[in-house]
Amino acid sequence: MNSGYIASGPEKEIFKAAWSNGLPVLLKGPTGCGKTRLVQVMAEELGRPLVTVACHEDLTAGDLVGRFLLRGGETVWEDGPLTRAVRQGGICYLDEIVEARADTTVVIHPLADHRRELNIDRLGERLMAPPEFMLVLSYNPGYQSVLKDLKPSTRQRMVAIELAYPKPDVEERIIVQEARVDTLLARQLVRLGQAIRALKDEGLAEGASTRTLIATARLIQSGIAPHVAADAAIAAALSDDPAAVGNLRELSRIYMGAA
Amino acid sequence: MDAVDRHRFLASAIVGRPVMLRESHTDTSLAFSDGQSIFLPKSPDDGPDTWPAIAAQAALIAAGSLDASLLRQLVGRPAAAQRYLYLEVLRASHVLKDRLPWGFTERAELRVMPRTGSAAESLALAATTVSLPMTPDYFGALRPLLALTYAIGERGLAALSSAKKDKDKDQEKARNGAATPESGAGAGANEAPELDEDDEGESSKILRLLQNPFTAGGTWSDLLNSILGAGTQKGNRESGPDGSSGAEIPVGRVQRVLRRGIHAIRAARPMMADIDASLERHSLKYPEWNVHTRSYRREWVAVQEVEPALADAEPTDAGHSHDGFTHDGFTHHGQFQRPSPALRRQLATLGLDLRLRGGQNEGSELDMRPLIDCATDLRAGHSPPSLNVYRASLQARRDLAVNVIVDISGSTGERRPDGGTAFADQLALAYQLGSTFDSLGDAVAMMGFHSWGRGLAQIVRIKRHDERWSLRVAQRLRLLEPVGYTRIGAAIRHGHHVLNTRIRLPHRLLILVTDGIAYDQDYELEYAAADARKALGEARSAGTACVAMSVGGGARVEELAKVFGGGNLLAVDAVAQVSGRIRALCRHALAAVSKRRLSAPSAGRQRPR
Repeated sequence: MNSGYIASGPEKEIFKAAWSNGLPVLLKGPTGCGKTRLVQVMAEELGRPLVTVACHEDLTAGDLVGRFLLRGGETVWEDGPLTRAVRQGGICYLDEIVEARADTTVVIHPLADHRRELNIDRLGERLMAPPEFMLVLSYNPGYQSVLKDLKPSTRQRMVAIELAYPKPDVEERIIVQEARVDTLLARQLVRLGQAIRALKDEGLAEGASTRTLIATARLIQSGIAPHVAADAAIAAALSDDPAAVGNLRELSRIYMGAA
Repeated sequence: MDAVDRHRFLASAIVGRPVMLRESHTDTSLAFSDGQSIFLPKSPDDGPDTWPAIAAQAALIAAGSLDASLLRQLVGRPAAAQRYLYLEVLRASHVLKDRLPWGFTERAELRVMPRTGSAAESLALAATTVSLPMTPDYFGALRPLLALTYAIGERGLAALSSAKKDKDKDQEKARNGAATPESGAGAGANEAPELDEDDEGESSKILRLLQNPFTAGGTWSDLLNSILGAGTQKGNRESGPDGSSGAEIPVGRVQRVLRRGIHAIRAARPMMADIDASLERHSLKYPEWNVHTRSYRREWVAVQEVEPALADAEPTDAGHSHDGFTHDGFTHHGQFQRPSPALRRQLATLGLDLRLRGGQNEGSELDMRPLIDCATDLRAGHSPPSLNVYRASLQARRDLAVNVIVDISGSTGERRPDGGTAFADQLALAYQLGSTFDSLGDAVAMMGFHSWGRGLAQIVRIKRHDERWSLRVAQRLRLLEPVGYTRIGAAIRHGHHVLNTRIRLPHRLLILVTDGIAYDQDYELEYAAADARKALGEARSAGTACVAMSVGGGARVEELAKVFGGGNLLAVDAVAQVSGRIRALCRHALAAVSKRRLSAPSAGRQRPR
């Protein structure tokens, strides 16, 4: 099946091999480098349903596993996304896993090792995961608070796939394909992206991601002038500091040929 | 916004590390670089060629074209330098094409294939008389001597040692280059140096020195290194009689050091700080405790807040760096090292405040969602139900204001037996602390302090608390010089005043980074210690936690321990050791003032005058 995904490295092969061996995967990489896109593409290629959970600090084990609800004076059990994925033999994707509290993430431990089982305490049920089930976690090591880190016990159960921003030629092809723009425009955007990513010490929390560059290209494709699109999708989106935004705008004008 | 401000990101983006843009003070119409900063012509008009000129110079830095070991052979040979510039901009724009703006690499002059594959090859070809196209103005100019003196200032004469090793090889290459068909009858590397405007008067002395193969090591180099490294004063630099770049500074420095001696340099006032009536009026006046009469001397010390003199950093100042930049905490490019994750972890839990969190097993109010879950669990017969049904105030949000004050008095510039200086270590530590606190979301101010008697205690702003962390912080740190004396009481009072009146957050932490010597005119020994203790007492009673840190201070830290109390002092031998103990130190100090605040809620915020 041609998903249109342009790989930067062996990530698809590793993902597939992990799936066929019943191993959970940990995707590491900066914002907008294609972690979620990879999972979507793999679910599609493997023909498995994808259940995505955006993790946050108030996420409880009950939110993942399921809970009883009151319905007409009766209590009714409703599966959580994790349980649903296990029952369906799907791929459960826990996005930004470190945002969830550690006491929540322990419920995935028995699923993530050789046992491949989910204990649902409230039902008194032990659910064995079918071979097609896969657990995928994602994590951005450079972004999360220092107080949050993945527990070693969770980390060691995973096969890690490290994603970075693609090399310039690959990123150029991605932008051309995703936004349907010409190569010259894609090349200008890639160079702008490379330039902004090099500004690590200028107080920007993150560099311009591939996703950001694609968004800019799509705006341009819709008729917005290149430097205006770059202002909106890159400069103003990356920082709230007026001086930094002004400097990013100048950089965009130069790289997008408006200076 | 002028060109320097507008294009601040361009050079850094191309080089991949912070590069300063500065306005040249010399009468030049072309951009040039010393390998660290890029200088634009005076009052750049920001025309269409301004950004390409910045891009060309940044590409030279990024491609290693301004390496001192190569440029050494171009000093005094302007024609060869011009050819090298042309060849290297061409090569750099090809090598770095993925990072350079499309509008730059597609310029007609740059759409030709580079003739050389490395800087050494360009050097060899430049040494010939091969004919090359005209160099466009936006390529800028090459200032070999400027880059060379900068490199020596940064790394000492070690910057040249590779040149010495490579010299024979390069000469061989140059000769090979001369033998190529297109090079014609070149004079090779042995051609007589061509004189240019850099090559007159005193500058030729340094030129001879640089070209002397014996200067690459040994006693001469040690001597010169020590002279270059001795505390110097940026605010007081003279331009060369011919406006030449770079050459005057080392020679002038040698003379100045010999003439005045270390003590004179330490005591020298910055030019900008000359007191006049208007400055007096703008000073803040602080009291001082007179231990002999056991009373305050009201409005006794005049404290002035000044900006470090960015504009003062002349292009001729290529050799300005003291050797501190090659020590702990600095990289080879004179940049400060990023703070360690260990330090971040240690400081992350300081200054916690209360925040309502749901799903707790005890608390002041009910959390509806888990409460309903609990009710359904009970109804479903599940036992035991989760009882985390409360919302409670937990310590979570950071509400911490930090003021890092660095002692930049002359004593900190004294060289230790290991060759380092407390000054370099202190700046490195201050940078690490400031950067870490800022990245954790705290309000951080940073200041340097030194004094020249009670009439002028000077506070140099490094970072305002409401300023975004940026390259400018490191730039300002680099402009500081270890001069003057230490009136420590005034520094503490002013640091506390800033925390208390400008930042006004519930948790306030004053960090004094010093080598431990309180000494100024009429301010020493018991008098100084008593005043510092009194200033600390005032700050703490008003709710500001105060700690001191000293790097490599040796026996001198005993004085600090007496003043601050052993529990509020962190004395380490190297910056890296700070992360192991800083958390306990700061928590202890913050807890002590919290207790004091709780037991005396009416404690005033007024500082005595």
